[in-house]
Amino acid sequence: MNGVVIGQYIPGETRVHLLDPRTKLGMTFAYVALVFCARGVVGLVMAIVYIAGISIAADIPLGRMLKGLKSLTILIAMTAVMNLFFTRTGSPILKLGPVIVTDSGVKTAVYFAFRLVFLVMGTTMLTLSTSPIALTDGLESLMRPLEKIRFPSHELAMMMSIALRFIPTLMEETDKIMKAQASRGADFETGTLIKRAKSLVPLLAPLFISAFRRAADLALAMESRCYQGGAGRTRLNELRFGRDDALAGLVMAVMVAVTLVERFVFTAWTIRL
Amino acid sequence: MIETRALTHTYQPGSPFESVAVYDITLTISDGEFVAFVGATGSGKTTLIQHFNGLLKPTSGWVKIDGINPHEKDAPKGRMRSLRQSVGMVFQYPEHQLFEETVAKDVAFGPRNLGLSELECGARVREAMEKVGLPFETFSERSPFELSGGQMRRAAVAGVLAMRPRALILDEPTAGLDPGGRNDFLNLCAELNRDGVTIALVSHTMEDVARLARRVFVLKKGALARTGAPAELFADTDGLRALGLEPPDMSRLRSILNARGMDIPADALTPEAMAETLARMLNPAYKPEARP
Repeated sequence: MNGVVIGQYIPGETRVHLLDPRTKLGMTFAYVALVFCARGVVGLVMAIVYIAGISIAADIPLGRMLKGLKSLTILIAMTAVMNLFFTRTGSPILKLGPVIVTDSGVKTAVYFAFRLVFLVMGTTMLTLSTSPIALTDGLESLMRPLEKIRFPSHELAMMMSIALRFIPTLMEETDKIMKAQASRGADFETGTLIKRAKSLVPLLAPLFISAFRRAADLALAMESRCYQGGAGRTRLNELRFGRDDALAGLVMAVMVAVTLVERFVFTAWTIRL
Repeated sequence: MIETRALTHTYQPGSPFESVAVYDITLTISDGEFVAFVGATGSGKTTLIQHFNGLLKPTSGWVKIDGINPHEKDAPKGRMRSLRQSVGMVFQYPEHQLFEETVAKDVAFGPRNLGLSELECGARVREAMEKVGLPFETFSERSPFELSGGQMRRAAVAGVLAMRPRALILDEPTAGLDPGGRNDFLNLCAELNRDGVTIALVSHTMEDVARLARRVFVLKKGALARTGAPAELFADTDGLRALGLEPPDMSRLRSILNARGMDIPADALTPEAMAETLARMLNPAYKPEARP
């Protein structure tokens, strides 16, 4: 089981991949705000520009982003249906007994569906272009100010890194134990639900035991290398903002500003959605 | 009998992580044979042997066990169960598969899966535990997790033996055992083989291979590089090193002594055989001790 891919990360060396993870996290937050604030056609264009721009710069095809949408189709469809049938404002355009569809209901349904799709696509960009480890590093750095109120940001980030590190190892272990038990005639695939659940015991029991053993070993290994938590610890790879980060931040700020101006200043002049 | 023809296995075919683990392997292991698979780390030994009881399906080529291809569409129903019964597999660090509350229950897992009666299961558990040197009276009710490392491994092996396999595949079974435990284990393998069980041993320890195997398969980068009796294979110490293997101690001693003008035959592969040969050569009056 070589080369297990965790999450959706597509390795690459583009300028987007090489951006500081904190910049990308910040951009994603700003983008989410942008999508929620957008009330007119300009905001919509800004969201499209963001997605298309990153897709080109990071060399990630749009199809990969749409994959993230698959699991959310039901949620999006439900939201659209709810908005369509339960909006009571605006003028009715369709009446079928108790069911009333209004023009603003149609508007809201379409608007919310688009908003969700854009939201998912934009945030998927982050996980597609940033490795999980870089992401935890970025989060740790962003959460550091919270340490003033005793928030364990370093411990949280370390736990995340360790969990990520051990996913492939545990998958390998699972594969091995499954094969060993299958060699003893275990059957994981057929039978009733209860029978299948029971057949997992010979797999899960050894897996938990080995996970605990690994955890104990790792704790010892870390302690014997003088690990004692985050205080005073230096880093191998320092996070540094570069020129690209400044550029990306600037572009993002302008995009958010344009959207806000459209919403609050030029309300009368733009095409409202 | 285990046969493979042009067996090739590719991991994650069609993905960027595609890798060919074994390539174009054709071999036959006859009933009652004791064979060994050797090769450097990553040469495909483990992947190859996992085809022998149907755990892996060849990407191309085929494997037949007792004349049946388990992956063929019209193979008889329940073939996997009977295949796993007739070919036992002992993985690396088999003690990691223990899960039951007591040793006896864990050893009984295999026989229970075969659908045997309680009585038959009990008899097999007792027999298997005695065979591996865990007396039933002492160990049956103990938790497998309070045993020592060596005892845990024996319990795990008993779990495989309780299925009464006719062939046993062992993947580095002595890794991490102390010298005494290792000797006991190899003796057990030899004893099973004398009882007619076919044995395929994967090992990094050439001394063990030299002592027990009658035929050796050498793998290099997934391909079968050589096949032969240990004596002829280990005689070529330089060729062996080129395959990424370290010749057993006695072969190295032999090549040193022969380079200085002695003429030691290639079959003196164990320390005992070597001592005997040297004694004969150096002392014409030598008489072998009578051995029990």
